[in-house]
Amino acid sequence: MYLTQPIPASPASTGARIKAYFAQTRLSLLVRSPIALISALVLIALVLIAVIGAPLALETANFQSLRLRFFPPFSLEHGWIYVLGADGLGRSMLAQLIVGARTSFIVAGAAVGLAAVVGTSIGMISGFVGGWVDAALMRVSDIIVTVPSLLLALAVLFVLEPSIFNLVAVLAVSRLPIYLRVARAQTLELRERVFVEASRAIGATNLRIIWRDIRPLVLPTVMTVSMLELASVMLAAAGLSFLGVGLQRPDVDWGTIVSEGREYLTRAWWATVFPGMAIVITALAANFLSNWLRASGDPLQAGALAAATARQEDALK
Amino acid sequence: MTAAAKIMQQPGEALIEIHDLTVQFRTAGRAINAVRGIDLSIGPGESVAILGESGSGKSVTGKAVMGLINAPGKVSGSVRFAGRELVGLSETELQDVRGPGLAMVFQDSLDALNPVFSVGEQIMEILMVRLGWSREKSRAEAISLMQQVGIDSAEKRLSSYPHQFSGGMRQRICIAMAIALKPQLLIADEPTTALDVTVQAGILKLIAKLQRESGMALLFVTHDLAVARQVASYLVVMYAGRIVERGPIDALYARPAHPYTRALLNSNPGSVSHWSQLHPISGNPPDKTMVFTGCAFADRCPRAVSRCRAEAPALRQVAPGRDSRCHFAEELLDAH
Amino acid sequence: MLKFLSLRLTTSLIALAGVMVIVFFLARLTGSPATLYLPADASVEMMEAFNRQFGYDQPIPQQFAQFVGNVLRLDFGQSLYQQRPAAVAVLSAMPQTILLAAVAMALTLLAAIPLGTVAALHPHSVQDRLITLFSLLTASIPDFWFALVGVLVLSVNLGLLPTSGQASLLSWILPVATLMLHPVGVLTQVVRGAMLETLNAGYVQNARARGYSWKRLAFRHALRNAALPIITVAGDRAGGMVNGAVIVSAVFAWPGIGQVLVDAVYNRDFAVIQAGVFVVGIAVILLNFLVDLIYAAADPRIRIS
Repeated sequence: MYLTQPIPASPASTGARIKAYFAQTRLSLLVRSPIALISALVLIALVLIAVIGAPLALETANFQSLRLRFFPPFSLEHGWIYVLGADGLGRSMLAQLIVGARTSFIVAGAAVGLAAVVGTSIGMISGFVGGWVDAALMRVSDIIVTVPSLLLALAVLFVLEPSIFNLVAVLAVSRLPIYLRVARAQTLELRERVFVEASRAIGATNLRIIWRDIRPLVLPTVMTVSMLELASVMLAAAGLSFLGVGLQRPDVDWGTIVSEGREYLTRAWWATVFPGMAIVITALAANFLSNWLRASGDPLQAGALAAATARQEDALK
Repeated sequence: MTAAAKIMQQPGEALIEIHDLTVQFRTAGRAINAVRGIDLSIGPGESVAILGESGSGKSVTGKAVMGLINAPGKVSGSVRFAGRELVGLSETELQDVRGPGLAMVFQDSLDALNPVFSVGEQIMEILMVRLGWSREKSRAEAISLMQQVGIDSAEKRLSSYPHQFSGGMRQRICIAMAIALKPQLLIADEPTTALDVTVQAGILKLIAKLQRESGMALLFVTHDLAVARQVASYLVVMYAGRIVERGPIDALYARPAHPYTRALLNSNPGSVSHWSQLHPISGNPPDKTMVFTGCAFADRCPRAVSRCRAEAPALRQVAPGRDSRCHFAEELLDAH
Repeated sequence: MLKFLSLRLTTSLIALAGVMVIVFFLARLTGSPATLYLPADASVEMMEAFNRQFGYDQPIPQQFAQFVGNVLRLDFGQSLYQQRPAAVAVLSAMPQTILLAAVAMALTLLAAIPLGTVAALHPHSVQDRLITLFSLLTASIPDFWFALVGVLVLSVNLGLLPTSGQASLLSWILPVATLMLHPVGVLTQVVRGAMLETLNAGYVQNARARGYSWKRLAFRHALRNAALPIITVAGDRAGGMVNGAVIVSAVFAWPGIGQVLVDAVYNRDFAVIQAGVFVVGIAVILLNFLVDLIYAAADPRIRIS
């Protein structure tokens, strides 16, 4: 068990006990690992910059200046907004990165969120119901996995024309199989547990059982997986934008900035290097966090399981 | 009851001397005491059984002697084998002792055999790697070993894989592998627990026969009274990581000197004549993270008094050749 | 074994059917497929004539039947840009990509197996943490950025490697490294996990009890068992190297399916894209089946059952 102190088996209310389990497992452990803590803080900071900074930086990001073409970084000559230099059209790299951050996060977040919701739901149903429904859904998952994701995305976006919506949709579909498999595997295991039997005994329908009993226990694992997926999707989206099928101006994410910077790679290395570094930092933070989540035995999962057991114990009293 | 059993010899002639062996596992700030300081000596050719419930520390003792306890476990104390201290040796130094000195047979025979190599290859490997024998010589010896442990058409079965054998056959193969280098001490960790009773008898007879013919010593770990009786002449009873009683096996079974041994006998169908005499031991084995002030068995003992909970009894001699860890051992002995 | 293989064959055939359906609907995602095949400046009448000629105005089931017929004859239409059948354009580019991927995967395994084993032998040690850090890093770096930075540093600034083309052995270094970037991190962790599990298995402890050296334990007893899941993941990642190949072609103008696809996107050559998706899909299915065969042959429990 991952609890730091024993939970008193007192006649406290169910809600209080559940709160105690969660509080003890999640936060205290996070504080103990400096890397995970820093990663979490970095991610929060980046999201804040993206959300708050983007509207403010938008005008500056689009401001072209012949005078400032290829202005090199690390000098405050023209103000702190140009500390990361300027690109071939004289636009501030820093401002573009901030605006690009918002797009990158929206795309990655939406794609992962969509894949998580749809994939987990289908996965839970597939695992719970079993039979030919399960077999059929697994085959569909196989088919999606067969064609390499970039290739499929390339082809679909070629046909549908690039836009944020299409990009998100394509990325989400390519990540469905992972959530399908994870949710299904967990559901298969949980299907046999006592509290599911108990719900069945009192006449709950399948959907109700899935929603009330299985979903809360699958969620923590899904969250851990989502952290990993966030990094992967961000990289994939950037790659598609780099190739020119992802996003195109005026929508700009870090991938498109790299693609534009590539044209004058030798003249202005900062136009390519900085946006890439932004991707690396974000993905690294997400990967560190998910690695820590897995390594510490998934405290969220342990907490959720303990809470579910507590709920059931009380219900049976 | 084995034929060539020798009663325990004087210290100094012992093949293996275990002194204050302690095994502790430290995880997440908690310390699990699997073995709490046991002393044991085994002479050459002697057969000793360690009897105990699951959680008594009996398996961990066997593994600790072989040096197979991995982190986060820590072994302290002393294990002197043929004059050499084993505790604290590096892995490379232990490799010399394993095989021709100490050998082990495990409980799960399927898990103990590599699924991707044929049994012949696995037996031959021991001879080729540890003795430097040629392939042909190893092959001939492998066939001989398999015949010794009672496997028919040994030559044909050399190329078979572990999953193609039954549980009993697989355990025989494991035994063949263990005796290949003619060890001086064989440690058997519940080798028959996972097998059918009928198959069990065959394996026990085999072990007894091999021991007789080779003169090797045997340390047999089990939870089954009847099994212990079939292979050993000397019995050590463990509870909560400590030895609670020991002595010649027949004497112990006839006149136990510890309440736990007595309770075990009374709860075993084989040792009572009518089911109404069966008394299961109430309660559960103690938590291994606990440190005891008094006797570890006090909570489950029908004869426990306040002294038992306050004062931990020491393992002491209560009769010639008989040791017990109970304040009231003598009374128990006399009661028979 | 036969039962295992026939099951895998059935799955493969279903996947094949699925790929065909995907490719079929790819063209029909827009209202008028003609816009995809014909140049942008084609007139409306031309488009309608095109649609009629290729049966795009017929009911779907009929279209699908015709489509399957065409596919089986490897007829994907003409490549607008290259003036030859799309299938030929794609197939002729496959061997180079396969060669690149094979080299990259071989080197990936050569690196991942020792690294993962070292990490597994001493879990939570300094070397384990460093190796895990390495895996996390490679998973966070975009491959196209890695390629560009590589070009910048090694070719432009230090002049060590050529910037593009296939001229010499040196010119293979950056493309292969780019292709290896993500798989090497993933496979190192897979090797680590598989080795950790096998090193703790009963048969390794038993072998340890027989006094074998740790080298023998790790590289003969454990690895031979760990190889099974490693092969599975390696096969999976090898198929995914097509993604890297596209990037490598975009950055280094490397010949192969990547280049063909990049050009097709640039030139609005849909027939080639469609053929590309199908051919790559088939190749992945074949690769997966091959991996299944190897797995069945390597695991006696499946080979003899």
